[in-house]
Amino acid sequence: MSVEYLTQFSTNCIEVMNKMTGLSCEWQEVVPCLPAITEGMTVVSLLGLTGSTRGRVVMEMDIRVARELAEMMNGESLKEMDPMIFYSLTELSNIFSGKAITQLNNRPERPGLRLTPPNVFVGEKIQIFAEKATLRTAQIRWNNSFLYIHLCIDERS
Amino acid sequence: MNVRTEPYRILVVDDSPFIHKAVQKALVPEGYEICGTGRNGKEAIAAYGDLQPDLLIMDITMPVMDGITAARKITTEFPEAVIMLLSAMGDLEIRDQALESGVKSFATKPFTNQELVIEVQKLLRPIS
Repeated sequence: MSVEYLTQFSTNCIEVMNKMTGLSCEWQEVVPCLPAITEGMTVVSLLGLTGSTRGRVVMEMDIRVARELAEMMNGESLKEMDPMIFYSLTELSNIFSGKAITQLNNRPERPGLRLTPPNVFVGEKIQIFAEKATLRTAQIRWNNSFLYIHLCIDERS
Repeated sequence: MNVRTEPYRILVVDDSPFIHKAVQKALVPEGYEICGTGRNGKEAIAAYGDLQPDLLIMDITMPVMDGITAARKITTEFPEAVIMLLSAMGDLEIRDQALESGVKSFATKPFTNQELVIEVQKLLRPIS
């Protein structure tokens, strides 16, 4: 899988977060830790990739970061486990993934990628990927906070 | 000349309640009324018939029925319908499909309040 895909999703995530929250973020590719099992209370937003290439896009962060981001997106404080936290983050993942897919689809090769609507999961010890998953992971950082974007492409597609 | 004094009524259909709230925050202070919300294309069709809004703002990627399919059905039954698709997806193929479905406008997410107001004002004349 091309690193270009990960770059496209990560740079769009940074641009969208900047527009929606004013945050200035940086990203870097990191080595995925497999099997991917979350520690502590974690928020995971999962979108399916369909079309010529099949796979998954996963955004992962801890609950403190989730609340911090959602409060910035809404411009107001939110209670712990307020449903708007999760609505906000699924929309964030939907927007940056949609923008990334749009840019990939407008390239000359026209891969015809599509996204499924996002689903959000909240809990502890969520297993996101199995031991043999093929994925690339980006860490998005700002101040003392970070989130992860995982891209998993079905190599048979 | 007839001068409109009633607020324009806008139906918002998006699977994300975050977008319902964001659109409301942007448009209500400008004098628009959000007359209803829905979370998929089927709900858009039902609500459009019931509410007859001045403008339908609708997402594309939604569960149950996508926004382009819903727009096609609504414009077939209500050719005068004013529909704005508001989506993170905006590649050439999707834009072509959107225009063929009869929508009047295509805007992309994310949006600032001001950007959304400008897009809406292109479709609905300001209230005097």
